[in-house]
Amino acid sequence: MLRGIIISVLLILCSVLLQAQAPLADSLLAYEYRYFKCSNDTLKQGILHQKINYYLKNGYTGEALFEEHKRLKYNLLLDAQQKKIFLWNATLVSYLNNQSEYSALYLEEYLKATADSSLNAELLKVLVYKYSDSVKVNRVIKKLSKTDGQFKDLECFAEVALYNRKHKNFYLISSLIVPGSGTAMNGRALKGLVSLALVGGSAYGVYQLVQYGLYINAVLWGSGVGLKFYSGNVKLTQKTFEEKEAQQKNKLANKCELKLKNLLTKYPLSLRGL
Amino acid sequence: MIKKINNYLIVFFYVAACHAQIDARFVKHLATNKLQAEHRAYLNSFTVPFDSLHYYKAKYYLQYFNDSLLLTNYTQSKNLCFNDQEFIASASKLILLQSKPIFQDAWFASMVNQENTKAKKYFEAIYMATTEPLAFNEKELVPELQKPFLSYKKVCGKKPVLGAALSTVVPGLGKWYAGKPKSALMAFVLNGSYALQTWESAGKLGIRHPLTIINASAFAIFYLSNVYGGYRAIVDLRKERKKQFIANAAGYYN
Repeated sequence: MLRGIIISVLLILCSVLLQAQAPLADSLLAYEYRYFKCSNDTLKQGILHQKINYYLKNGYTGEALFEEHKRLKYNLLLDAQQKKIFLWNATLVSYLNNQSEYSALYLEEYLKATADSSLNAELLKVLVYKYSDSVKVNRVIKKLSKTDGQFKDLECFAEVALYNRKHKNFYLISSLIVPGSGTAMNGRALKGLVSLALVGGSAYGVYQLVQYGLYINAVLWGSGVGLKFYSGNVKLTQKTFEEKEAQQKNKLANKCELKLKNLLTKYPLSLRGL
Repeated sequence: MIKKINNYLIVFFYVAACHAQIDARFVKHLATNKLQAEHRAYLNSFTVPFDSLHYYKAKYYLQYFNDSLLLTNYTQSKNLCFNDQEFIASASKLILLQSKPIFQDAWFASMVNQENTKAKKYFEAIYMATTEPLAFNEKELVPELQKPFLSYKKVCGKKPVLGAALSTVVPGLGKWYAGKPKSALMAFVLNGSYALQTWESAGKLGIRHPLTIINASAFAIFYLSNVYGGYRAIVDLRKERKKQFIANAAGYYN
């Protein structure tokens, strides 16, 4: 009898403990149910804010969390501190979800609400505007470099934003005159050589056909295959030029991101209110 | 004694679960806000299955489209589902647009014994029109859908094998038959060019000359592609028109 009671008590305790570790979706559901049942709009935003914080405490920063941020009417948050925390986190979450327009919007709202000019806020500005507003970023970097000269490294973001490979027409004209030369100058020597061989071979073939008096063959091979190779060579030059441009831009961006990463290790930007 | 208590507890939990009610307004709230994880968790929190749970699950699988689970839950709550004409219309629309024929057949077969409602009649007609277009009378459709249906029916009357045979006789003719005159002209010119080249090189250089062999090979490849193209043109056109007709029909409902 006593043994039976002890076993039952242990079983109940186990089930209670298991219930206590509710999975993320169940807890989110509980928050959502409270939100749904609440009739006061202000309180509702408070509950949603708690739900957002629950996501963050569980280390989740994905799309669903970003969507929750969009649902929250932050102007209805009564607690000024809570609003500041929300806007800060919303900026970071939007940034992590590659939602640059939203991160800029939340950052502007955050700055309006707090007039924060701390190093972290300035660094967040760099993060948000790094590829979209080089003037603003440079201004911030100038300010930050007074504190730490290392921030000057971040000026490279402006270079990335404004980067454009020059003399595109030169490469194209070069390929028009000597097939494959533009492609080769873009760093694709083998492709350039193949282009030259194909166009040259086609031209020679057409010439030979004319020599043999095969005029129909000359016209049809020349206009069909020869022209295709020739125009293909120009298109290839354009493609390789754009590839090279993107490659160099990526290279620059990666270098910059690495510098930013180092700075973020030194001055970490973390989620607030957790 | 303990056994008795356990039995009471089991009966108690069973009765409690049986009396659990789905909060329809809350489910609507979850669906409107597209809170998929919460929506799923809420429906899964009911451990004992009952009709309305299957109905809400069917609606869930309709929103986050999964035709197999939608059908499973639909069959377990047919009457409830059928009372919701909006659900029937949306499910029929999505199944026609996105599901494989096997699911389409199962879906429409399950509706056979149900009451003839507006949505059922409308989508059953669309289904019949797409599965047996030649036997279907276009007058059963609303006037706005008759034109796209007739255009689909017309293609269904054409035979892919005939398209291939026509292309064998005259290159490009199969595509012309399929209703693609530009493509037909292109095929004709291309095949004609290679034939001309082969004829010229064979006449001047002889049939065993490498150039003649190259020309003849190129001609053979293009000719065979043209025959296959004549066949494919009709098959592809059928699919395209069917898709277009279903899209028009789905868009027209409401």
